Amino acid sequence: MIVLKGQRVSDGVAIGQCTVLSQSDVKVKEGYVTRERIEAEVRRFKKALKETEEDIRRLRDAQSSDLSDVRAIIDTHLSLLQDPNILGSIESHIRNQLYTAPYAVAQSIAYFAGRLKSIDNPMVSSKVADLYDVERRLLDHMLGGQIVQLAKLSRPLIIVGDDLTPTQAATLDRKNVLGFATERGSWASHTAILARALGIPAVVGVPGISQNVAVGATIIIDGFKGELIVDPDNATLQRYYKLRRQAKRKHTGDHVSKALKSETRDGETCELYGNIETKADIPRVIEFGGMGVGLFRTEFLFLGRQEPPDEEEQYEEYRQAAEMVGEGTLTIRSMDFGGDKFDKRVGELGEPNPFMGERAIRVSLKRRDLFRTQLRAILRAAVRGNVRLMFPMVMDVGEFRRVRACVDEAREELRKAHVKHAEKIALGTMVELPSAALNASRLADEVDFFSIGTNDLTQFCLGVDRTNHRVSSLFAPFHPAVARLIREVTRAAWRRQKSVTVCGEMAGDAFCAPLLLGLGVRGFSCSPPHIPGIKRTIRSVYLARCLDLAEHALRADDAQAVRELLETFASH
Amino acid sequence: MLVTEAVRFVTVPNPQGIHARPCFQVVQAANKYRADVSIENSREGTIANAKSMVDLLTLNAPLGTRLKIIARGEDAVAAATEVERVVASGFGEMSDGRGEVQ
Repeated sequence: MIVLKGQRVSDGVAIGQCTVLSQSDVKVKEGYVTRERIEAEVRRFKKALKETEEDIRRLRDAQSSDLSDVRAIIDTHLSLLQDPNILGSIESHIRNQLYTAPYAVAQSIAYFAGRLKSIDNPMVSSKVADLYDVERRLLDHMLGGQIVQLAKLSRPLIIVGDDLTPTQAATLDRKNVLGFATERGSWASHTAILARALGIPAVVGVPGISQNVAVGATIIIDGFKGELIVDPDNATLQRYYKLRRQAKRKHTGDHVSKALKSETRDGETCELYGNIETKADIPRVIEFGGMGVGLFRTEFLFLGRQEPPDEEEQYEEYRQAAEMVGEGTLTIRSMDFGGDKFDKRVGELGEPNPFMGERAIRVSLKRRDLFRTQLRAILRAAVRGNVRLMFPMVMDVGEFRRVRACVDEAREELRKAHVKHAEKIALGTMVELPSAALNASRLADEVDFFSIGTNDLTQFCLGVDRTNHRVSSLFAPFHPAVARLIREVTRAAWRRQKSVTVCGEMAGDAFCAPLLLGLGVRGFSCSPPHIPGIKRTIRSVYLARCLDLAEHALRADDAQAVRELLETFASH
Repeated sequence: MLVTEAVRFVTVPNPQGIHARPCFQVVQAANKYRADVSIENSREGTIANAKSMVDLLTLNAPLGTRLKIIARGEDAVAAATEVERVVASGFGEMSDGRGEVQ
């Protein structure tokens, strides 16, 4: 089994036997004939010329009349084959230089190709491809090589070769081509354009393909990765049969029904949740197809009032929310005061840098009375549904343990008072601080789940206050460094089989979704109206390509480079 | 055998100039005659065999290039006239279907 890497130009998976096209830039050996052999060598050339003309005329007759572009190509080839200057040059090379017929052809074509290439007009210089096409046909006849009859394949095959010539691309037996793999070529080459038009996988620019592939070999083209696998082993074959099946599943159009699964085209399932501020938002989550609440921002219960809500009031809110979510999950975040939604009664006023000040879990750990009330209410409500609890701005394992101790304490109180409450509740942490992301592998031992808050994570990672208009243009959640932090978290979580959800604005941005998928995120929590867009994006992409995207993003120079990667990704 | 020479002047009238399809049409026209036909690009000072596709392609004659058609042979006048007509017609690439003949 050999894996060859090339350029990804057309997605999909093709598995099959291959046919190998003869090479256009076959190095014709320099060769000379004796004077006695001149006439025989000229006849050899003229015979090949006649056969080539016949080939092309047959090709022309086989074409339906509506393909005017193909006609034009064929006409050009016929004129080149009858071109007195070319024919004269070849014959003269044989007669005067005593070249062998193939060498004379190669030398003459090289001369005319050089002249065409020098013309500063793409409509002319592009005809070099046609000149090479004619040369290849002549050489094939003289050297006894077999021209693969691409216009009429006997069975479905993968086409392997140097690059398709314009004629080959135009006259190909489209029903029987499974995919392409070529040595040369690029995104814009004939092969790539044709493959995308036909919706079949292709990999181009695979160095060494001709040395490694023999006619009839079994080949896998992984159009998602831009890879070619020659003589795959059985396990690899099985894996790709599965991937091919998944890839074939039809992509549904614009309408994204609630009933449709949020899974990628290659079958990777994701979970979509809504972010809410009060229980009144829950019907919208359900309406837009969310499977639960990924972020319940409880601080809104506290804002804009004289006294904080007591335990009963909070309990009612959480209980009703849990019941409204039903089968789904309700992830409650403990109060996150401070920063942009600062409540003057709870924290301290006048902090010069509130985002990095006393906020979130720092307030909760300081104001234990408030925290205790909230924890008791949540633990009580948790018996009414599938409730998870998470904490904002946790810095490290030590802090998480202190928070967890508070939960244990509240639970113990409830137990002693014989108040009905959940004995077990999933505890998670938000990842908003780079310190939490960098400590994710340690945190993963302690927490039940992670939720990445990309807004804060980005501003702390990049040192950019996005509410400060002087620097807010630097705010970029898809910055390579932020991507690296996210991947730290997903890797740690996957290793410990803990779930990871992203609940920042990035999670609701369909543009970023492929990057998050590629970074290992399988849970998205966003404002309810964004859920269908995220689902549509997830359903339109292949995880394999997202992984590739993420790899590139992690190595990118800056946010702009990642933006370009994402744009390229979105446009294909 | 009477050998005659005929000369015609024509300006490339089509926007895309002399590219593959026009070359093909010129070759087709010139090949109807026994006369040798050549086309001179007065701007570049290049000269091409009107029966050679590859030669015509390298003529490098965009819109507005003044071309000199020279035919030699017994049917030179007919050949030159026909090639002139093909070029002046704009190779079917003119919006109004006409070319400028000088």
